[in-house]
Amino acid sequence: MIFVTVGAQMPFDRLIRVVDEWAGRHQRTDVFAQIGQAQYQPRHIRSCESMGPDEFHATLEAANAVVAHAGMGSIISAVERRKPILVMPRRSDLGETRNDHQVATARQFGALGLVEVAMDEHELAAKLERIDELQAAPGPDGRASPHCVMCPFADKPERCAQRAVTSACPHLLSAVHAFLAEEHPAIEQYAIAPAAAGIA
Amino acid sequence: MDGRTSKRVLAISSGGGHWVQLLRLEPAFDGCDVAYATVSPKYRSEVPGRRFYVIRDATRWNRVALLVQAVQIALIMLWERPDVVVSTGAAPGYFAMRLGKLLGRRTIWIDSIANVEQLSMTGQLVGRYADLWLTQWVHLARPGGPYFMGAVL
Repeated sequence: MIFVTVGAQMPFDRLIRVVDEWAGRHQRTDVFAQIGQAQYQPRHIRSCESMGPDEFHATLEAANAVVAHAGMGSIISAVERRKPILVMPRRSDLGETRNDHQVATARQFGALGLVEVAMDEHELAAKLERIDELQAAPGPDGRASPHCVMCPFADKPERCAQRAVTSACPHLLSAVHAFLAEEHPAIEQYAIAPAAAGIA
Repeated sequence: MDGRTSKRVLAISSGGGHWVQLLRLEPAFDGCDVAYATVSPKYRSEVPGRRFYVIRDATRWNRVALLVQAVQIALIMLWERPDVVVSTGAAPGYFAMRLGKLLGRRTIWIDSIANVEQLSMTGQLVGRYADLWLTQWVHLARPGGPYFMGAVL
């Protein structure tokens, strides 16, 4: 099953139309889409306006691949369940969002190898042709989990042994926990100094 | 933590990706007494056993909704009396950081991972009100904050 989702905030007809036409061409009956308050009503795929979290997670679990806008809710949800995901960013000049942050998000997560990216309808149509071959991103060191690809100690394995986690970066979690516990470590002790990361 | 009283935490954000990121921080709240506040009752089932508050959804383009949301957050803060306020984003986080400092609480801002090229507008505004001010991208970290300590993904 292919699960298509445009997130909770706004519709994204440009994406739904391409998927719907692709499904029609290939007589795909295994596509389900959450489309928001859309103008475009799909003719070939099943759809709903919105989903609660339980329904969303159940549908995601049953999916072989995800097609989505480049929103972080969709990307994180797919990646944490090891589902391959193809994203197309919303564009502000078409009124699909208020700014173009999704374009940068798509590029960055594409470069990290966590998502497959289609920048426009043509790329989306082309990449849908190979959607069944799409694989979830391999984890660091080829391990099962894709998490921690942004680990601050990714290149210093002696400082991070937890290369495969199912939650947020353990360094982030322990920093927040330490702060909550009022252990008051000097922030420089656990934050990554920009200079150390090669930032001027 | 001293084991006598657990820290009271208010975790608050808008919906969608900000909420998903807030949930990813749950392990960091281990041992704390956590309440959640967000903009949709649909999310209640994702934080079973926690106190859960629904606030008005608002963006900076809707002043009336913003005002309603700010008042709701103020009431929640007075009722909950959190020791620490944590947010991943947008308008609810902004109000919670401001009110938190006003009430002498400690505040944590974790800027959304969606902001790859620059800190979110709200993230820039709240910097001076966040005791722990974090970005999830190393190239956005600066001396004095926002700091980088890893990401939710």
